[in-house]
Formats: sequence, C-alpha cells, structure tokens
Amino acid sequence: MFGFTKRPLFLIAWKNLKTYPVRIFLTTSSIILGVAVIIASNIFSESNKSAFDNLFSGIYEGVDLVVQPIQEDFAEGFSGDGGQGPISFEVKKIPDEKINEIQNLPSVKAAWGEVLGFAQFIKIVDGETVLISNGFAPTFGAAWDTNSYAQQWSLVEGEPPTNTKEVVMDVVTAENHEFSVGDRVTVLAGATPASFTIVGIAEFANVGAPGGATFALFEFRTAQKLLDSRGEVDLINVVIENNFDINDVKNEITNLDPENLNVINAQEAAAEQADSIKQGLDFFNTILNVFAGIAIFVGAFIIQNTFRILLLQRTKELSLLRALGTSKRQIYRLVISESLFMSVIGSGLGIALGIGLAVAVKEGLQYFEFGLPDGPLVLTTEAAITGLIIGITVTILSSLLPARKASQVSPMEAIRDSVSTPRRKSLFMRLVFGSLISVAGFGMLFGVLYDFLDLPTLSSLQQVGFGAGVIFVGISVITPSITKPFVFLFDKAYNIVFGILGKLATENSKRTPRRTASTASALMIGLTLISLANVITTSFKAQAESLISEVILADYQVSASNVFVSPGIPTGLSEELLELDEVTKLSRTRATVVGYNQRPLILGAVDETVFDLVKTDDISGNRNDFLKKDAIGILKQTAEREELFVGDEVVLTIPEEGERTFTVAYIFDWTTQPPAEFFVLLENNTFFADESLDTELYFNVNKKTPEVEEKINAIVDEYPGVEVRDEDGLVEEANNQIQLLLNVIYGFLSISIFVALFGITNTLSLSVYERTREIGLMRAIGTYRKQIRRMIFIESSIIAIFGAVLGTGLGIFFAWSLIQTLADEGFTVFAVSISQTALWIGISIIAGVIAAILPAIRASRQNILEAISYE
Amino acid sequence: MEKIINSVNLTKIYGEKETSVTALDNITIDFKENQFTAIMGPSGSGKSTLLHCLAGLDRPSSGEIFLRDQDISTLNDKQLTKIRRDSFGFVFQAFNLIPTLTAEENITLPASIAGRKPDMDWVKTVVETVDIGDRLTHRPNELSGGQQQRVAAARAMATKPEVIFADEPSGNLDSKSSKELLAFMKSVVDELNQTIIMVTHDPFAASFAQRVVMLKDGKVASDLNGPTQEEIVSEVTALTNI
Repeated sequence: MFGFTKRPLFLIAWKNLKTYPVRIFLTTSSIILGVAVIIASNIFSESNKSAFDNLFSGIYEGVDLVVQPIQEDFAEGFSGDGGQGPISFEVKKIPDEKINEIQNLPSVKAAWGEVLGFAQFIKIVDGETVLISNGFAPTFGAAWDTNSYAQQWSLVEGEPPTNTKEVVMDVVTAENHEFSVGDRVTVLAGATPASFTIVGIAEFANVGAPGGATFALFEFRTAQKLLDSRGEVDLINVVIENNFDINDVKNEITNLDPENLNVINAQEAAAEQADSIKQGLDFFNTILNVFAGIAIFVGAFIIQNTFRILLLQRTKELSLLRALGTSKRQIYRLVISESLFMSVIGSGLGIALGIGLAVAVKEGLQYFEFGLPDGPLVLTTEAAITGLIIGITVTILSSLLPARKASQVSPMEAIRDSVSTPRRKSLFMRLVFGSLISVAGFGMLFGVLYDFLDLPTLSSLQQVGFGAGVIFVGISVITPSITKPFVFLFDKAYNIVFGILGKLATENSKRTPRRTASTASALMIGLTLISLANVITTSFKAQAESLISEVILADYQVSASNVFVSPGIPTGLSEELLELDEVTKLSRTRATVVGYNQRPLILGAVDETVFDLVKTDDISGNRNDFLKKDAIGILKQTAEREELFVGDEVVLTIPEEGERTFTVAYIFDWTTQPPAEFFVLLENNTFFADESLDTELYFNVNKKTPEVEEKINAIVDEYPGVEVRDEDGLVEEANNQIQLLLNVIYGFLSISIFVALFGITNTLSLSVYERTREIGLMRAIGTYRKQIRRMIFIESSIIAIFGAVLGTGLGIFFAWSLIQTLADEGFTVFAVSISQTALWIGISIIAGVIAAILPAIRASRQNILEAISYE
Repeated sequence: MEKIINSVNLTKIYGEKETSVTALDNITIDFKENQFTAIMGPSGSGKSTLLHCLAGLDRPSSGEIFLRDQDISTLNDKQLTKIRRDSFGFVFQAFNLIPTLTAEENITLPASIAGRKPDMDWVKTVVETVDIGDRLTHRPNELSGGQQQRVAAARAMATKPEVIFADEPSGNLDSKSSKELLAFMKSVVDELNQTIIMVTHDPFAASFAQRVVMLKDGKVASDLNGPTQEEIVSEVTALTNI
C-alpha cells in the first residue's frame, strides 16, 4: 500500500509537473519559441540545400561532361551565364560547329548545345502591361533541347516549339498566371517584345521551375536569334559512350580547342553551382539564428522570473518539506530537477513547433509565389540536438538563482499564515553597481565619439557596439532601483485619469520593484532593438532623401524597373523622348565591360549633357578636355586606387575591338551610385553605337506639368521593364526598399515582444495571487469585477510603458552613437520617426494589456468569502 | 423602530447530497434600524454564514433577504456589489485595509471606487469619533492593530451606510483596544444613528450590543434584549451544554 522510493524528491518534482501542466507551459513558453525558431531556420535552410542539390544534379541528369567556353582573363569572376544585369557585356560563347565536332568523336554518344539568356513573359491585365516574375528570381529564355538524351525539360502537355512563333512555358508560370496551350503570350527578349503561341507546358527536372525562375523555351534557332547567340551556344552537354573512360573523353574534347574550351565533369558542375547558392542560404540562416538567439536571451529573463514566481507561490509547500527535515541542498536539487524536466519537455515542444513553423514558412513562401525548389523538409539530428541542448542549458541556468533562493526558505513559513511578501533588500547597492557598469559603457562609447579613449584591438565600431552592450547590462542592473522614481513620474496622471484604480495600480508596481523591473526588462530588449532598427532606417531614409535631391539635377530619370531581371533600356526610347518638344536636355549612359591591367572594369559612355543633369564634383583635370577624342574620365576612387593622374595613358581591352589607348583628361566624383569607373564620351566612341541598350537616361523638361508627364509616360509605357521616375519617385523607391528591410526586421523582433508577453502574464498572475485578500476585500466593500479587471490592466500598462520607454530610449541612443561613429563614412543624418516610435510604444502597451487579460479575469472572479475568511 | 433588513425562510446548504451541510435552517429574522445587534453562537452554528448572506457576500440556497423591503437575494453580482458599496459598511476580523493606501485613502475608498467625492464633513466627524485624526497619512503597517480596526470602522461608516456588518471586529485585539473599539461602535449607534450587526463569540463584546441573537445548528435559539454580560454567559453556557 505504501509506496517507497529511494529518490523522493525526484518523485515530488515529477508529481508537481504532472499536477500543474500549465506551469510547464508558462515557464517554458519562451524556450519553446526560441528553440522553435532555431529548429525552423535550420530545417528551412537544410531542406533548401538538399533541394538545390537535387535540383542541380537534376539539371545534369544523364549528362556526363559539360563543355564551357573559356572567358577572356579579365572576365574572370563573371560566371559564364552573362547576358542579364544592367550592364550588357560580351561573354564568349561556343560556335555551333563545335557541337558537331564533339558529336563526331567516336567516344561521344551525344552532344547538344544550350542557349540561355534573358527573356520575360508579359501579360496585359486591364490594359496594363505586367511583367511576370517571381520576386527577385531571374527570368530566362532558353532553347528547347531536341536531343533524345536531354532530360532537363519534359513536356507536361502540348508539343515542343518548331518555329519562330512558338514558345513553351514552364509549368509554374503557366499555373500561377493561368496560361494554357494555345494562348498567345508576349515575350520580352532582347530589346523588343514579340508575340508567341504557347504550344507546350514543360516541367524542369521534376521540380516545376528552378528557384522561382520563369522560363520561355524556344525552338533552337529562334532562341539563338532572340537571346543574342546567333550561331553560338552557351555550353555543350556531352553523353559519352559506355566503354570509354570519362577522363580520356574530357581530354579528347579539350584538345579539340584547348584555348577556348573548358570541359568539366557534370556532377562537379552541379555541386559547384549548388554550393554557391547554399552560401547565400547560409547567410540567411545566420540571420535567423541571431533572431532566435535574441528570443532565447529574452526567454532566459522570463524563465528566471517565472521560476521565482512559481517558487514563491509554493513557499508553504517547500517550507513544509523543510520542516519535515529536508535539507536546503535537497530543496535546491528538487527545484533543479523540476527545471530539468521542464526544459526537456519545453525543448521537445520547441522542436515540434519548429517543424510546424518551417512547414508554415514554406507554404507561405509558396503562396506568395516566392518559388524555392520543392523537396521534403529535412530535420538533421545535429539541429535537433543543438536545439535540445540550448533549450535545456538556458532553462537550467536560468533556474539556478531562483532555486538557491527557494532553498533559503524558513521552515517557519509553513506555520505562518498570510501570503509571504518577499524580503526587501536595499536596492542601493544595485544602483551603485549598475551605475558603475553603465559609466564604463558610456566611457567606451563616448571615448570613440569624442576621441578620448581608444581600446586596442577593437575597431571604433566594435568599441561603440561593445560599449552599448555594457550600458545595456548596466541599465538592466539599475532598473529595479529606478522603478519607483519612474512610476512616480506618471503617478499623478494615472490618478487623475483612472482615479483610485490608477493609484492602486501604480502603488502595486512600486511594491515589488524588482519584479516589475525584470518583467519590463524582457520587453526592453525587444524595444531597444526595434527602435535601433527604426532610427537607423529612418536616418537612412532621410539621408537618401537629401542625397537624391542634392545629386539628381535632372527632372526625370529612366532606368530598368528591376535590375535583377531586365537588361536595360532599348535605345529607341531616348530617341522618342528627344522628339518631344518639351524635353530640353537628355543624357544617356551606357556601359560595357572592358579589360584593364588584366582585370575587368566597367567603362561607361555618357553624353556631354550628363554634367548638367547629375551632380559631379571636379577633382582634377578639365571637363572640356574630356570632350576630346581619346580622352577618358576617371572616378576619384578609381584614380586613387589605380594611381592614375591627369595626362596618364590608359590602355583598355575592348571586346571585339581590341586594345585602345586613352589619355586621362578629367578626374571627378560622381556623387550618386556611379554607373561605371571609367567614362568616355558616347559620340566619340563608335564601339558603343552598336549597343542596343542604355543603362540610364536623365532628362529635363521645359515645364513639369501633368500633361507633360502623361506624354512621357505614354512613351515609356511602350517599353516594358523600363521605368521613369522624378525625384519623388526616386525617394519613394529608396524608401520602399529600406522599409521592406525594416519590416522583415520588425517581423523577427516581434517574436521577442511575444516572448515578453508571457513574462507579463506570469508576473501579473503572481501579483494577483499575492493580493488574494486585498482583492477580496475590495470586492467585499463594493468594487465591481470590471473595476478589478481595469486595475490589473492599468498595472500591466505601467510595466509595458516602463519597458517600452526604457527600450526605446536606449535604442535611440544606440542608433545615435552608431550614426556618429559612421560619420566618417558619409553618414550625417540622424532622424527619429516620431510616428513609428509612438506606434511601437503603443503596440507594447496593447501587448501588455493583452497579456493582462488572463490574470485580470482570474482576479475579478476571485471568491470573496475565501479571500476574507480568516481560518 | 423600523426594521431595516430582514430575512424570510433563509436557508443555506453547502455541498451536495450526502456530504451536504445545512448552515442556515429556515431563518426568519428582523433587524431594527439604529440598533447594535450581536449574533452569537458556537462554532458551526451558522452565525458567520447569516452575516455573509445578509451582507450580500454569499447567496442563500432558498428564502429571501429584504433591505428596506427590496429583495436583495435575487440581484446579480453587479447590483449586489453596488448595494455593498453604497448601502453597507464592513469591518472584518483582520486584513481590513489596503496596504498601499494611507489611512485616509482607505477610509474614503468606497466613495473613490464609486467615483464620488466623499462627504468631508461627515468623514471628519467619523475620524474624530474614532480618534485617529493624527494617523491619517500613515499606511496600515505603521498603525497598531487597534488603530487599524478603528480605521476600518471609520471606512465602514464613511459612506453613511444603511447597515454596518462587523465580523469578529475585536477578535485580534488586546483587551484594552478591544474595549475602545466596541465603545466606539456603541457610540456611533447611539450618537450617529448607525445600525450595526456584529458577529462575535465573545460575551464581553456582545454585552455592548442592545440585542443579542443566539444561533445553534442554523436556527435561532434565543433572542435577548439588552442583556448583561452575565446573562449572555449563562445563555451561552446553556446552549453549549444541551
């Protein structure tokens, strides 16, 4: 009948947890979230890595060798897939006849060429031209492989393209944009769009379309013509005969033309391409892990707080154990073993939630057509173990202090009645310590800003960051001692607005300053980071705004709408614009890649008018000399780097043109993002005349009216993928990009606010528990339930405001320091968005009130008789 | 004297079926205005339950309670809370005051939560009567037990309630403080025309009352008018010995 166990405390710990599952949830909620983010980011990147591996080995399915052209030395570093991007430069290709030469080798079973370039589908929606692309993924045009060994593309329905008017569309684009076989579709390839009939829908290596890219597949000759590859291919795929050694065949093909052909093993090529993409994903994964780290850091605060709270509620039980002869050490172990159980369960739940999160993110991305390769979700054992270890370690470390405190409980507590209030230790020492730490931090930080302290081995940015971290710790230590003065600040306002309930709430938050402070600290972390991000980006925006209005003198700028997918501006546009009477001045910029000192360099060509339309600063030399034949202008930075001076000679290797010698005539500073490093005058250099695309156009009009704007838009609209913007448009575009980044950061940091919510809920629950009698008394003498709830909400808002204001203040200060540090890098504007700051403080208060809902309901439903009866 | 609060066939049963306990068994009783009534009885006689039911802190299982002919036993929580706030005053045995508020704030608390300005002249009178004028700005933990109970009594009277309910108000006090508090309670009935219903098990405390109601097993056992302490003691002894 009587159970006997050698480990009674372990048993008690386990029974406790079994009896109060809500405790596990409250305590570990933050760990669950933190671990979940780690696991989700890991699954996400691992799955994508494996999917990309599959994808790239899929590309070369059945192919043994890949023959690539050897690029000129200066083009090294530009991988051989050229043709896209804002700068059109010549990439060497392989002449068609090489395919036959290779095919005719006895060791080769099959050889076929591949053509790849930029092409984009266009659809008309309600009279508007819409360019089809998935996020930042590229849009490709390619040749349909007719060779029976080619396995990349397979038709889902329809026929392969057989003439110049037919196209096959990838299945993902077809599904997303509701195209089917027989439809007409416009495709932008090269400079001019043309209409095609969709004759087939195809699938790529069984994954739909790779990496979200769209594909237009043309008949071979058509593809060559459209994709700027007449008589040439980008690479040749080779399948070898069974009885030949792959390395022998490799050498054999290389020997056909060793100066121009580079032959590589297909599987190596796959691995190489997959690796470069995986590196990008690793970066993404690192960012996710940083955010997970923040969530866990906030979580550690909350776990510690919650443990303290739960143990305080169980003072009687622990004290009874002490009275029955349990040693302090045993109580300590009891609490630690409870935290061990909790951490295991919490981390486990975190892993499960992480898997769910990964699935949700994947589905979400697919919903927004941000195509990533399909594939199963992969949870590596390492990731699971890492999550488990982090979760368990953080939980147990956070429980050490509360456990110590719990073990100090006096056996007398069990006999005493009344809920014990925590012993009040002086907060003075905290203030002293915290201030010392903060002063050290401020010293490090201001040491950089005002040049009086320079720590060795740290860069000034690192020193500022380190100083900020130290200040943060210092402030965290101080917070309990400034709780009272802080609450005092809005005592009066609360009393006036909320009457006696406001008074009671403010008094309550002052009653347990440590608890109020540590709860607020959790929120403070999130708000510090959010306001840091907010101020930095607001300053960025303000900087961009002033910069744009300063340096763009032109009324309008024309550029490719998306530099990732569109090659540039067809030259016809500038001609049409010049025909308008209203256009007074126009400058074109073109660019090409040239060789200088065996390295690639971008050479730009501009019209003379550019100097009136874009702000440039003279450094040395003469602008008029630049207009002479064989004169070259050089950017200030490039001139410094290459040690070039006015009068020096520069030899450039120009594709299809050979070597040309120029004389440095003008060194200047191009105050916006420069389109090139070397500049020549467009009209002096005929080799630019053949280019079919401009990179940018700048122009002025005689009068900026809506009518003129309409005329300009009418012209530009005929050129898909090209956009015209005035100053406001440029500012807006810059702002949009910054805001997008900011929103992503906000999204991740919201997790830390979410975690902090649990902390507020826990603290208020304890506060309500401790005040059982008080609340009962208030109810007895006629306080409505509604008023009790309101009192708890007010109390919660105080904690939230405390954390939010401290965090926002710190964040703004850190941002200011950072900007001051970066002043030398041209960072001059410090701007705070009042509305965004107010918004986040508002969100924090609302979050605080939401967190108070459960404790408030619990408080208002308290049984009056139980609270007031005295037994 | 007019009756101010009365119960009709008041029954309170705790628990269900076999484990149920009848705390109040069909009690019909009137309480007069401007009178100091003590309710006595041995442990488990139902005296506290009767007070809780009359004061709207607990709900009867059956029967009615009338406050000046208004049936308060059928009111919802909100209406009942309003009655407690505006028409009743309370003094409990312990934990009567909100620790974060000063004595004065505690006294005016019922008015504050009603969002009303307290009648300051009346509050002054009450404060003078209980003799705590010099302790008004102190917090409860700076007051002695006797002072705390007097602040509680002042709070109970501050809204000029119809009835003041006191649950063992002197239970935690030494004999001197106890006597002072009870004398004060008697004086507010005599001089300030208040009505007090007090639960106590102490014959000395009950001797301050004008009427003593004895309960036993949830029923009224006897009803004494202006008894002396000796009469109360003998009655209590008689009840306990049966």
